[in-house]
Amino acid sequence: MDFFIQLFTDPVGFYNQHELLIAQIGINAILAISLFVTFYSGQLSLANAGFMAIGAYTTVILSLYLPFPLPVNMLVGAVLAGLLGLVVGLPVLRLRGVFLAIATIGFVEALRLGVILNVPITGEGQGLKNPTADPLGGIVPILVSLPVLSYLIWRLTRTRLGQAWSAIREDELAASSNGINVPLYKMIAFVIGAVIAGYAGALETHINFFVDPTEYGVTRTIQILTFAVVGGTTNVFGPIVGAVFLTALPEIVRQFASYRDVVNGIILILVIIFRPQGIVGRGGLALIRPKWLPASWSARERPASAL
Amino acid sequence: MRTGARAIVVGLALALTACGGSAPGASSSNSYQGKTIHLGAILSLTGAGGVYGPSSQKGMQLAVDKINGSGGVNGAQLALDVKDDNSDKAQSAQVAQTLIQQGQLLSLLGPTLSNSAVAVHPLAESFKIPILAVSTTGIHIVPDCNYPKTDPCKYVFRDSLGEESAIPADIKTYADQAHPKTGVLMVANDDKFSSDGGKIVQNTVSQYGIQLLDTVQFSKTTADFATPVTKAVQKHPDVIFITSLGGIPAKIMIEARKQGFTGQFLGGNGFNTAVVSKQAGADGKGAQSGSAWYINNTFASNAGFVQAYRAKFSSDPDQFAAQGYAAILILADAAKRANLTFSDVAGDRTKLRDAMESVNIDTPLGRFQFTSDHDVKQTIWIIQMDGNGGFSLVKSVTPS
Repeated sequence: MDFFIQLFTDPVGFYNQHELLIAQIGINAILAISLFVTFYSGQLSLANAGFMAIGAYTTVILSLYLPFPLPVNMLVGAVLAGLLGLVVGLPVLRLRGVFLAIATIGFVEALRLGVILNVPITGEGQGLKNPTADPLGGIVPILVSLPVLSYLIWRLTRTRLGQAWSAIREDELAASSNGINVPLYKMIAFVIGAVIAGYAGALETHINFFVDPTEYGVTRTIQILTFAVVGGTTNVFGPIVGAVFLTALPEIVRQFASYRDVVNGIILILVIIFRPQGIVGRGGLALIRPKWLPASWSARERPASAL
Repeated sequence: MRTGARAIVVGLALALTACGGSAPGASSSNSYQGKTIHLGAILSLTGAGGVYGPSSQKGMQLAVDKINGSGGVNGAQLALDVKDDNSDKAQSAQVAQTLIQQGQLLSLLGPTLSNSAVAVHPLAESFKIPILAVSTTGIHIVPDCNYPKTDPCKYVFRDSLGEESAIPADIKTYADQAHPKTGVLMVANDDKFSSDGGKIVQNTVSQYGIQLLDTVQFSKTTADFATPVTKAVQKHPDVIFITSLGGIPAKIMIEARKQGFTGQFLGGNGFNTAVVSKQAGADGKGAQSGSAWYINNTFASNAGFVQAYRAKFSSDPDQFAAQGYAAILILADAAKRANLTFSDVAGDRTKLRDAMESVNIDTPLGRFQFTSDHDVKQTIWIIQMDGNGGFSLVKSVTPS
């Protein structure tokens, strides 16, 4: 409770004491957005951790060896992640559903175990120091990027492009017979997701002082997927809420000391049971509906994108 | 709730000092009387580091109780706030920031894992608060935590023995006695601790006339070690060096013996827990490593520590408990000599840091002084697995 009491009674003190937590929430929210974009176009891609690694490593390596200013390095990192997305997307986007998920996990592991651990410039298993790290200054670009990105993606889902993604998600065959260039639109979603993930990786190195391969494995990928599932995927704000909720939760339940993981897990299970459509999304609580609550409040929808 | 606990601590402090427990040197600095010295520890009590963190915590708590029970630090009481980081780098840094910004702590301890230390130590440095590492053994912990700046860290200290000292001492001891000619290194290449160890082995062996025939890299997540072990064994080395964590060294030893390897196993801190020795069983017998602490060492304050630990927790302390215990003694000694004001936290943190540089006290790790790099300089205990889940002492190496 200390956490909330301070949040409301002493917001300035709260901000000062939890700057890194807030920064991490912001990064996780941006990662959640990157997953959402591919999800929205009906693809269960789990390659985000890999693109994140590209963004992070590129930024740090450029900062170590070249005199460019940091924003340029970060931009290069994001663009490179996008280019790699294009290359990886060509073969893997022929797959659908769980097969795509497996192929993208394969990409993440191949990148981490095959490339990062064997190319000397990445520091291999020992990781790399980030010479430009600035943990407290790093929060500003994050706090600016998050609303800008979420607004852009929210607008994007309402354009023709977004509608095409929706159509593909609902029924690929129908979309294609209506003249939508399915492979092209899928590829656009995949590359946008890659660029955003790469950008999030670049932002993260800025607060973390260090990049090492353990950060970008399957665990990270699953974590990002959890943000989207818990938050809901009907619109871009679902994954963001999921990221905020799941990143802050360990701190909120800190007072339970050694039972922290247990409480954390129970809350997560409760959310999944009662809000299978995600925290953000239509409908009320699943399973249990008090008699006085109008029937229309209860969840009728199963998650649209269970895939 | 929290202020309540603090009031009780302060109340206890007053009561204890009122009872007439005159601490040594209390007369010179009465300003300490009735005050509280706040310390914060970031430990991995859960997650992958959960096998180490709780030991550190017990050791620290034991020392805090002992000091507070015998009059405190010039009459001031120690208060230790332990926070779990879930063995996660991001959480570790977040907790550190929260502790620092709460604005009363004079010093931090930890974090448990080297992987977290690379994020937490530079943070402490940039906030100018002393931080004492109690269990990290990797490279780049001290003194060159020089990120983001290039000058060495001034506020970062370590009382745990780095692999950079332990592994070379182990190799030298074995080379002096058995004169091996060839070796193969087996290294888990996907975590910092293991790859640091591998790098140290590569840089050390040639000094002792050992030719490294091959370096076999594998992933921590490997399920079957037959293939990497075959690669190592078929070179017929005199020695197999293993740098990895957890149960992996034990698995490698068992597999290598099965494939007919009869030579020596050498390694680092990854060997030093009873769990590994037990898993390796008879196949691990003779596997040799360098350790920071040995339970039967004869240092002045060790017997008292072991006895008090057994009485309180009814189990034997390990290396991590000894290092945690020593850390609190070190901070208490520095605080005693630092002329703290208890009003200016930033000033007190710097004073404490300055006093830490001249610490010279008896701990279970031996007579303790920091090197000019803020690292430890201590006796290294070369131990061998005894084949029954324990360790036997080969020799002790005194620092040069």
